[in-house]
Amino acid sequence: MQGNGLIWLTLTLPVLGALLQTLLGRKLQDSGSGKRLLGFLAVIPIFLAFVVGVMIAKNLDPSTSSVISSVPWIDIKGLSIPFELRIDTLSMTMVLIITGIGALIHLYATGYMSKEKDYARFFAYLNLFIASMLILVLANNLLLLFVGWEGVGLCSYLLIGFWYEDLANSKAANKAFLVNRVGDWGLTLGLLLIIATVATAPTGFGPKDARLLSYDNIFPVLEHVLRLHPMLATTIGLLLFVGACGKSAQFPLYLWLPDAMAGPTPVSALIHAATMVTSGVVLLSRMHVVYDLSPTASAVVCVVGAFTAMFAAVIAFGQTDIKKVLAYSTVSQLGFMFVACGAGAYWIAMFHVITHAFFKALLFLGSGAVIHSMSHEQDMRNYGKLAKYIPITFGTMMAGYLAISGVPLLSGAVSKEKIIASALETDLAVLPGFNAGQFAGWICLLTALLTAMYMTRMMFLTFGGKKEQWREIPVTTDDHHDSDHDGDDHHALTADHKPHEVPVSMWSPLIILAVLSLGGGWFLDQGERLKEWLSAPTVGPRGTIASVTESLIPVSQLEKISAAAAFGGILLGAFFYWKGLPKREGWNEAEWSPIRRWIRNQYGFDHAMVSAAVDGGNELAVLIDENVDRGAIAGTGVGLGKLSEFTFSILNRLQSGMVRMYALCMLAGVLGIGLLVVYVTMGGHK
Amino acid sequence: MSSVPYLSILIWLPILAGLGLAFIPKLGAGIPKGLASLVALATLIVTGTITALFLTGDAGFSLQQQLNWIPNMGISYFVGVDSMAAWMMLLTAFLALIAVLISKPKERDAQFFGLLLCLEGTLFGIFSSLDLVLFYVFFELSLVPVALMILGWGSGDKGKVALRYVATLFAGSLLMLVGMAILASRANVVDGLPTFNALKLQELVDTKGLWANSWPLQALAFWGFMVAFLVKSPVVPMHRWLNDTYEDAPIGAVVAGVVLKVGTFGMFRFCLPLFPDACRVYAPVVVALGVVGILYGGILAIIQKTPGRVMGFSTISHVGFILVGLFSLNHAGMMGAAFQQFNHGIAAAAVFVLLSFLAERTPAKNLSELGGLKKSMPIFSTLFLIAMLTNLGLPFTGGFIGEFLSLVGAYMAGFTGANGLSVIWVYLAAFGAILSAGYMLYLYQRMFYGKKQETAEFKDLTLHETLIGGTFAILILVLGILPMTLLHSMEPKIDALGRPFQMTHSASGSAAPAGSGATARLVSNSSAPVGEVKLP
Repeated sequence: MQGNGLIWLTLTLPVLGALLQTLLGRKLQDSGSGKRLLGFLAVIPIFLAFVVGVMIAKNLDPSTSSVISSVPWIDIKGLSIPFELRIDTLSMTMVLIITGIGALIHLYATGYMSKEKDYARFFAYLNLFIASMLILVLANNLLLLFVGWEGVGLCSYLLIGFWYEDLANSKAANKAFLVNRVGDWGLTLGLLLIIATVATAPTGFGPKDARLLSYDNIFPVLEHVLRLHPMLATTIGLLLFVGACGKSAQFPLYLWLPDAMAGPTPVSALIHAATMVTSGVVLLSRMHVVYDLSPTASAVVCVVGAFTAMFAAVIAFGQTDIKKVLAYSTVSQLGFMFVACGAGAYWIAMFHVITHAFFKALLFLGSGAVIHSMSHEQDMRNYGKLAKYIPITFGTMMAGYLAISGVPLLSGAVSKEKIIASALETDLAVLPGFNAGQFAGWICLLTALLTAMYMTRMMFLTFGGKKEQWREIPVTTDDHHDSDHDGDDHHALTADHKPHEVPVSMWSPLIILAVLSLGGGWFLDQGERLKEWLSAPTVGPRGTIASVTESLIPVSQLEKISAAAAFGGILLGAFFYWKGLPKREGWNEAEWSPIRRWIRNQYGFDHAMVSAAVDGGNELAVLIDENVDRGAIAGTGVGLGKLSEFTFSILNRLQSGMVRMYALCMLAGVLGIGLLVVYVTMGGHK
Repeated sequence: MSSVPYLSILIWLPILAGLGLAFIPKLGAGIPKGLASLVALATLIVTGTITALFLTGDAGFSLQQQLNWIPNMGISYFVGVDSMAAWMMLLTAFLALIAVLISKPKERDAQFFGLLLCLEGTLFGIFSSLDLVLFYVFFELSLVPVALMILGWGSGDKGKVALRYVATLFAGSLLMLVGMAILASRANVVDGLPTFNALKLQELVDTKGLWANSWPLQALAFWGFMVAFLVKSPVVPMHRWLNDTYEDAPIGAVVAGVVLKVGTFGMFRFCLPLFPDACRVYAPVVVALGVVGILYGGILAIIQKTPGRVMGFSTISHVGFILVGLFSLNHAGMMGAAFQQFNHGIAAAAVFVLLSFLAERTPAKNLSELGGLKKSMPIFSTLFLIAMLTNLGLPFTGGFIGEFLSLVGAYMAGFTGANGLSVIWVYLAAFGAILSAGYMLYLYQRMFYGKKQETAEFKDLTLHETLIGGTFAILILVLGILPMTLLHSMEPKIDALGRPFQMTHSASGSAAPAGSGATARLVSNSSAPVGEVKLP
């Protein structure tokens, strides 16, 4: 099978890595050299997987896709689902991101986690995550995708709660899993509806029994059936999108992602920025045939994406924890990707997945370096003037910052501008009387300005300013969870603290990512390289094509306008924050403007949702428990019970003891059979 | 081969050995446990061999043995085994052996192990009876050992628990007698002879119109059986006997693992073949009951304060999925139900076995007294994690396959409008996955996360315990990743059971599709029963 069977190697290597960590970890992790060996054993499989991925991708003809089949997983009459992988440009793009960025982050983590006692457990989870994520993107059917989907969710859960002694981490982990399960509700139902649609479709559209859920089988069937039934396309599209909202943290299911920052920072970079959270985008790109045939679903995707982008960008202004700023920024950037999906420009969404993986992984790892050098303090109000102390971190983070802000030619700018253009020009996400694409495009443009602003704020508060805040302000340590060390050797910031640059294992990935953040977007865009590479799996059938009025700004001018938005945002941010931490955003939150406090708390949305779910759910459960389970049912139960107890008590008076009582019951049974005999005999006389 | 009455040996060997153990006055320490493990191991080997016969997939009954009992009533001692029963018996033998191995009764251990063996024997009887009266006898007999075990070795208000257990289940099963009477009398009408032989009755239903012109009787008999099975399953609102029974881990493992499964097993064995019209007509009712159970159990599991009670409500929720799949009355749904019926035995027992290890270390039952176990017991926490994952239905664990197939079945039935089902039920049932994650994660958090002085010194699992727990972990993963052994083995049986329900349109999508054009997919199935049956 043209050497593509190598793909199994890509998949096996991380699993092997996880097994090695589990088996050897306990013995090795107590010594420094043992840890180095474990770290090596964790990085190497991912790196090798990347090399294999490159080899496969190099020989891949972009216009083809191949299916690598294997033994059946579920194979019953009418529903056969084998283990099978799909190699095409979409899946290989993701494989390269996952293993490439993954290897860099693994390398970084060997340094970042070097003082951690539970070293092997961390890398076992991390390797397992890579394996699950690869299953997700490589699967050739939706159920195998679901395996990866839940697998990455599990790893995310385990890694968010990695420092299990702090209950807050456990709660964040539970929240992540549960909110994702809400999304999975939609995904499951979408899956079932697809099964039902395909299974009952008229004949002539490929095999019906075998491989019912395989992409190569369902796409032609769906295309045919959904073209006739747009409502069905819309329903499937919306249900799948609910799943995507969960995994990719879109409104209103974004709630778990900010809390997920409780995990170690490399986890935030890998799982909660670069890879797992883009699964929703991958899902929509993979299933684009559904959305291509439903303008309504596409419009909803566009609007939700745009709304989330803006909603989260504003919240970022109220955050003082550096990782929270980046978390909301991630939510916001994911919104951008969904706008592109809704506009029908899936390759552009994937483009942003790639560039975002570069610069957001960089920013998270950079923030990890900052946190590392600041004795695990995450609050930016304790930073200031750090550029002087940690120049490599500062320099590389600048690259990521400029890229996300949209400075022309840098990777973020290229993909973001394409997203806005695709939204303004779309003829897919257009409903009668409402051009959702253009609406989303305008919001994205405004959000681009906000992005540059809040990122400038973050950079100035951290690296700029005139004061070294940590020398003056007493540190409150109650609300940070990123404690790499076990509680006892945790040392707090003091006035004579001297931030130190991170070791080479940590800064070398930063440099590679910085180069990619600066030039990666430009490189991929040269000669429409990426567009052509991704066109086969992402361009599909179109349903009705809406006639669209030109947007107010001609798209040809967009390059200048988004550059203006980027520089405008940077200048505005610099104007407010060039002196460092303003007093109105200081430690005394009573001095904050009410609006900033309001956005800091996510407009109260998180609180409302969580208390509705947790308290409301609890109250409902207690209500049922008291009134139904121990009320009505027990009441009837007691009623019946009373009756039986009464009967039994009479029997008990005659003969005590359970066994005899039971024997009597049996006697009653025998009597019953006797009656039955009579009944049967009489029946015979009919 | 067939001359050796393997099934009778399986049934009576543990019962006789159990009675022997219970009545032999004094045995040295460790001897009862040793003897019991030997007997349980022997039954495991025999059931394993029997199950191996069915690996190739066979719809029929093997190892049949029939002895006259009350010939002129058509009652006989009639046993036989099909693929589904074989798997359930294997599960019974496996869990019985595990229960013997993990039990450490504080007193009267000979009696305890004796009762356990008796329970095993009666369960074998239930799974292999092909005569209704024989089935009923074993069905009732199986109550005795459990009730006595609760009385003798339970905790809390054990008298009340045992009474509630016996009273509820006994009351439930009385109605089954009525159903049996109706069946036998109808046989008398159409065939001239009463019979309680299940195979004969099925033949009469299929070929001689047992239910011709007697719809009310069929409905009545159906509900007679169903009430007995629903109480056993259990289904809301007849579930309250369950939770107290679950407080003691070794008993809980067996009860959750197999005793409950008798309910859904009975539906497969008797309700589907003997009351096909009633199954169709009342499918929406049973599916609704299943969905109510899924949600009700899931919601209440979250607020329970002991792990045993969490598992009790969790069981109610999982059984709901079996009912939903079973009464989808199509291939995928019934396969899912059959799979989940076996799988949940492993999944629930895994948790109870692990809890019994914990009980060795602390008398604390309340979750508020636990916490921080991840630090002191890393192996235990990993094994518990895997048990948790199958209970919340993560793919690649056994818990996923059965519930997914059940939902596929129910969805297909609803989508095609078969038997008056609706996809709404699936939309609701799918919430069960959110709830199961909720109560399992919350349970895990309260047991393992955080920091606690009291649990910091607990010893991690011993090698012996790790091996037992590890066996469950491996089974859970094997069931999830390689489910085909089990599915393939049961498929012909399920196919045969489902045949009466496949009408013009196959809900599993395998038969010829209805009509042409996509609109034809909405062709609805007539929910009217076939034949000359008259509906009210």
